[in-house]
Amino acid sequence: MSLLSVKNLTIRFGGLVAVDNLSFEMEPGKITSLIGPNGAGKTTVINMLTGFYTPTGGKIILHEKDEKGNEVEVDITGNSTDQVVKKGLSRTFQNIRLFSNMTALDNILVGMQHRIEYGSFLSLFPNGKKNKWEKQAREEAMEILKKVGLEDAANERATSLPYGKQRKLEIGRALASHPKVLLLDEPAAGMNPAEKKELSQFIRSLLNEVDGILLIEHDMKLIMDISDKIVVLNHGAKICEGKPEEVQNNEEVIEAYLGKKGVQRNVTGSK
Amino acid sequence: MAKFLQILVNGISLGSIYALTAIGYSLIYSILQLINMSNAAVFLTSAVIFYALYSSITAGQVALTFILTLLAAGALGYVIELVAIRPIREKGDSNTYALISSIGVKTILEQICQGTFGSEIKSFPTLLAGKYIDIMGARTSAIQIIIIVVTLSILFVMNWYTQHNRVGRGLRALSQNLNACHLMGMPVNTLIGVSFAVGSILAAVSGVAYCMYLSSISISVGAAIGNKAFAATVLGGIGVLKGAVVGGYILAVIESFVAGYWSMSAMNFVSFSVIIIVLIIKPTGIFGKKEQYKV
Amino acid sequence: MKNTALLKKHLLFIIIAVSMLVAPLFTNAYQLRILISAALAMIFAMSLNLLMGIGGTVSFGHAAFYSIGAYTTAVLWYHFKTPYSTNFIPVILITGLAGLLLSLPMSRITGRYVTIITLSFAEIVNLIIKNWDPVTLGQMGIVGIPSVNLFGHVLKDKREFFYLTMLFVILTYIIMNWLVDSKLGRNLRAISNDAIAAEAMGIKIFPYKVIVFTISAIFAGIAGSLYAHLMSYVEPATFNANLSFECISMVVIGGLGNFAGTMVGALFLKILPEYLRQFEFLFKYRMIAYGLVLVIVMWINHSIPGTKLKNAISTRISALFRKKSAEAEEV
Repeated sequence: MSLLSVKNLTIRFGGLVAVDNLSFEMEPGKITSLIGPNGAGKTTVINMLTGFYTPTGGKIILHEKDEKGNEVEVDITGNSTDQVVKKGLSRTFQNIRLFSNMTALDNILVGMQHRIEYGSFLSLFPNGKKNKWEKQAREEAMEILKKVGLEDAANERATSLPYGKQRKLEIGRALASHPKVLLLDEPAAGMNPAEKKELSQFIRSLLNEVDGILLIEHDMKLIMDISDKIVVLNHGAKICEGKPEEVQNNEEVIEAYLGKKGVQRNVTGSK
Repeated sequence: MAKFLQILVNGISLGSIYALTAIGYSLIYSILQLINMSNAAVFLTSAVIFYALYSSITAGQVALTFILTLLAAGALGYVIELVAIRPIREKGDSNTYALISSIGVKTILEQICQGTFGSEIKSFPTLLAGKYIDIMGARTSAIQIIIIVVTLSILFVMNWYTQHNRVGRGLRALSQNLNACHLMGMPVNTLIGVSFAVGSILAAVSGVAYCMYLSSISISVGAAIGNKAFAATVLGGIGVLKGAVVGGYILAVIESFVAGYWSMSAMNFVSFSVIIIVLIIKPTGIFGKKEQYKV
Repeated sequence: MKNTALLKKHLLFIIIAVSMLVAPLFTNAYQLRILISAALAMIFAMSLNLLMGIGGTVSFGHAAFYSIGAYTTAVLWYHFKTPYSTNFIPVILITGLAGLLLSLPMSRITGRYVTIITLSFAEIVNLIIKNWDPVTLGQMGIVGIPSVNLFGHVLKDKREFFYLTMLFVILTYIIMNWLVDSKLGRNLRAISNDAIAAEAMGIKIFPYKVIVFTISAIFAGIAGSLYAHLMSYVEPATFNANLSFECISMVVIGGLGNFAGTMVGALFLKILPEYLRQFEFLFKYRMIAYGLVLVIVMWINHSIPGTKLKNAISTRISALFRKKSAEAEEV
């Protein structure tokens, strides 16, 4: 049984086909990576999965279990961003998008917002329901901060944190919504090799928190290290799919990255 | 029919006034994404400068006064950018702060005008007073024709200038990508200063022309026309020069017809309602391009 | 520990509130009147700060809500002779409705268009007031509005009026703080920080815009309704664009999102012109001071009571010294 199925997903912007007939499956407990040269349409796929873009065609299916343990398919194609979050998809951004003027704790609390069940009217004055939810949410948010190693920075402004910690805070914020599927858009961008190594262990450890991870990354070493499955995109279309070693030796992939001449060389040897 | 034509002519002359000031808003917006609220005050200040010069130093010489006023307005625009906008811009602060700073400038200029000029209505020199042309029953005054002709030629020159001249091309490049221009070693600050000067000169032409049209001047002309011109800019699509012009003419013609066939008091009501309705239907205005939704 | 933190956070507010509350012991009738108008400005400006500082929307037509509040109570008094305490609920309902109405176009409109929509809205409201003669008496305005009548008790003494206003000031401040530290406030701040990230966290933006406009409008309306009873007359000319700009200045001087700062801003801009009144020349040009303050505050760093000003000044001073000492070393 798979966790998330993407079936024939297509999006056109005007005449440009950004993602073309893309299909892949995400398995539970696994890290699925989406790679491809710049402009291949990777982020566009995440934008469609999370409801920022409405696909022109195709389906996005989330597999869930109902109370009796039977598998049910939930179609989330074209859902709005808030519906998608409620159904269990949460994302980070390529260029970190934290709430810069808010504290780390507040950032996590915003990530948690759809699970905090008191409305706007009760926000206006103190009351039992609000106090209970706020207390509970703050405790949980501190735990999340601990998980991402930021418990000491709870009351610091998000922008005052060092770059690596901002990345982690963003991942923590995504975790706060209790997602089934976590979508990470280039989490290692701008990090040095030591930081990347630590990050890859961290991402692995996240599988304890979520059912599955979809990862977009440019760093081939990181991808090959932690992915269970890799989907390769070029010009919006899937050119190859498989385990890291299968993808590494695929000629079409090498060609997409290095051009025709590069086929003679090895992808990993060229880093 | 004569009434219809008469209203149309009035609308087009008023539209010319709106269009000129509107270009100032649009030009700055296209480069800095900043709504320069001081533009309306420059409109008023220029008219006051013209009045002050004409009634003292350059008495009776319309052309000379006009040129001096335009020079003063251009300098004023450059100084406004230098003093009130540039320090905020260079710190990389949000446009909201620059906008509020420009409101500060507007307040200062309006106060100076009010303090020096007073609050009464005074008569303003006009050109070829009492001369009319009859166009199929519509009495078109000489000043109306002058305003329309001058505006159209300014628009023509501006259009040619931005397409072919080096500075014009620079301004267009700025509106594409400010940072890239900076990296390419273009004198970004000077060019932005120049665009403020250009916007102010256009507002000055507009301000003087409007007072000549009314053949009177009072302190309230700035707020009245300034807000309308800004509204026209948004109606046409802010940041698009063509939009400012078309928005100005559309708004003025609508106003003239409402005033002519319905009532003066309904005029403002209708024009502001039209703007809200247009923005609800098409938030980017008539010519505005859809903002790209980047994630 | 927690209490000291709380005290520290609200210290500025406590100082202002306490000194305002004892001020009537030392003031004459004229000064008291200025204090009342400053207190009204505090409520009005705090309501705008909710919209600007927390909601991230600069409204250029906030005077519209103030005027709707003032006119609602004035019109009800004029036509039905109802007292303030009866008019209070209609004031809240009508201004809230006006806020809701203004928020509706905001669903599809961002940034620059907010400016023109809010400006146009204020213009339209003013035009309606000016021309709806049977109800608002048009340009003439409504005169002879009595002082506040609370369930039969008329606040004849201006001191009583002042304390009622201060009660609203304190309530406004407290409610704003409750709001900011709640889910509603957090989500609003998130939207104004980064709307796209907020959406990604599952926040629906439009309902929040509606809520923040409505609440903000209600508080502005409350301030406006008290204004009508303070002045005993209302006329359309009072509620022009300058009133909105003045309100923006108060918020900006105090710092966006800083409600105690807004109170300082309101106090400053209400007392400054009165102080300048003794110098005829300066009083004539007092609006220049407003303008200059705006430009200079924007230069320095958008907030007077905040730490930013202190930082800005100290860095500038230390830069000065560094330069001097560097020069000294060169010599």
